[in-house]
Amino acid sequence: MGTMEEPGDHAHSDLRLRRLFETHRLAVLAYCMRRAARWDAHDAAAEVFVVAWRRIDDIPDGDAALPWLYGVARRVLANIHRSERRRHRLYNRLASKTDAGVEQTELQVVRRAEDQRVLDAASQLPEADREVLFLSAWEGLSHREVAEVLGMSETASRKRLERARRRLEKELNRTVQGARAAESGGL
Amino acid sequence: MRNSNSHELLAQANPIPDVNQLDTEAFSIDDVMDRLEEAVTPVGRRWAMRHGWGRALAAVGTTFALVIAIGAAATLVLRADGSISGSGGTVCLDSQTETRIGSDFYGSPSYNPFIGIQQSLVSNSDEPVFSAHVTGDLPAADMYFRLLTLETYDGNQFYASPPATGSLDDRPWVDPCHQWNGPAIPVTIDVEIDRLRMSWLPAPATPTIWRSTQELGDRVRVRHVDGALSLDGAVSYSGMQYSLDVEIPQVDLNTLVADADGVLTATFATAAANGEIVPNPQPVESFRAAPPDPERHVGLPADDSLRTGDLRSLAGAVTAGAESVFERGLYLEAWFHSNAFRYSVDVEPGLEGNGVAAWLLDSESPIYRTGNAEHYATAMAVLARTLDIPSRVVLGFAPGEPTDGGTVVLRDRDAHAWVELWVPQHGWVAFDPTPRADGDTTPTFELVAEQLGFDLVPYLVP
Repeated sequence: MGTMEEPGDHAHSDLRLRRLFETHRLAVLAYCMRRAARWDAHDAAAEVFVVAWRRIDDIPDGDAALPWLYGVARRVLANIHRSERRRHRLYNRLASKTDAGVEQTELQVVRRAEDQRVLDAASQLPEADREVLFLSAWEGLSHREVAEVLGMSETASRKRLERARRRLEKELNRTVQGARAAESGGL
Repeated sequence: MRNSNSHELLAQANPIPDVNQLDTEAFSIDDVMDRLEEAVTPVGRRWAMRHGWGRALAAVGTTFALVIAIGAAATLVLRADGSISGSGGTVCLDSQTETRIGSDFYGSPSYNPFIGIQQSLVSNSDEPVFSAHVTGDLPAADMYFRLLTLETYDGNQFYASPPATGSLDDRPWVDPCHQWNGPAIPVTIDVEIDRLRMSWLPAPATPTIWRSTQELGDRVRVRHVDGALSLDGAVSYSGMQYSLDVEIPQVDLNTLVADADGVLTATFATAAANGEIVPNPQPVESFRAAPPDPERHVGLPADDSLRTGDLRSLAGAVTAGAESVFERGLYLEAWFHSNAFRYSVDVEPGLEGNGVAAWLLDSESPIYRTGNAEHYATAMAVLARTLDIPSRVVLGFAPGEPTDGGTVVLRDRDAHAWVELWVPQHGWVAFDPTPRADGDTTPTFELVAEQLGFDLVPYLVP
């Protein structure tokens, strides 16, 4: 297998990794913190750059490097989460007011009711749908970049984003109706 | 951009809107370097070992539905006026009979299961046929529901020959030689029938427990090759309710990427050599023998009416480079999703006679590589058989529309057909070769790629 040896020239790799790290560490850390509890997020972000070092020769240059790192981060988080055996809880945790996950991030985000509502709605969607929505809305990625993160074609990512937005919209409408019904004394 | 409202709302809910707010001290290059010092072994393998890649396709939750089929002896005809009468004969996928979905019934007006559904396969109707509430660790929105499985092929069509069925008290529901062998996630499904009028009862995968307050149990028959449920001498009706405990099969990539000895098979070895992170290959105790009665599962016409030789060459070319059955399944499925094919509901149903060959091989043919689920499922199942891979066609419904926490509505237009191949690690594994236009289906190669975390398609070309 081609990966049996240490990738590239060691010193060169080391330099490139440090440069990548300086440029992208906050973005990668933020990606992880948006999706996992603080300790998991730090662990995951560090692991992302470990993978980056090992595969330094595979990392695309320039703007394409960050989507590549996000793709690795996604897998790292999935692994961490899989070891907890319930991958979708990551997002439930993220969306849950009471859970420590997001509350323990250093930012101490005070979440508005409106934000909570949309996160609750997103938590009802399948994981793959949520991820395209988040990549687009939070990381601000283009269709092409989303496709790079998820390892799919640009057309497929565009389709998936469309579908996910429809589903989120539907879920939001449903909760709005539920809230209205509750306000007016319910049905 | 559509739905910009939800996009805006979501953007506002960003837990970390500005990365520059982060405490930069909290994450330094030393955190990375500490980890690197303990890391020296080859990338893919070590990574895989540390993280135990690829348990199951849990969160994506395709059913990998098992099979289904026919009530044996008494076959029935549901007339358009709603009356039911008996009739003999084999149930088959027959595209010749005229049917239509009237306002009062849905499904099969004769006892031929594919006829009713054939209409629906090309339907754009929003008619709700049933709804299902799923309790468990899988999203209802990704769940396929099967009605029945067609395992016999006569050169014209797939059909369900009448195999043994039993009452609900007859255990096991599925013969051991057909049972799923691998991880599974238990869920409970509450089904409420709307417009569906069929003796087949929709269910994902293999049910283990039946519950209903409507005293239907005496009439329910279980088909032993697949656990398919049907009503004996009756059809489903609006308001009918039942609840099922179901074990949803989950593919185990650790064994599927490997041969019986636990060595990575060709495609996954290539991916690993390219630096992709592949699951840690694991041996299974023993590969499973194909189910008995090979004629039923790999049989093709003995004469050359099908152009079997040409089809075999084609299948061989498409799967060149694949080593295992699972890999061949992925190659074939991915090929049907390539731009060599076009989805269309405006094509004559059925692939009679040399239809499969015309559809796959004759670029002059008006139906060349163009069609709907019935064409795709038939073509993939036939191609698999030319490679001696046991195959069968499943009729049912593609994932429905989520309406409420855990509830999905299945509509006429969701009617679908897909394929199961006998994969020796597990048993019957579902593949979905149809590139449906609505994007609600997910082929197995995409689910696997999602689980692997890298684009599999470049590795699935000959």
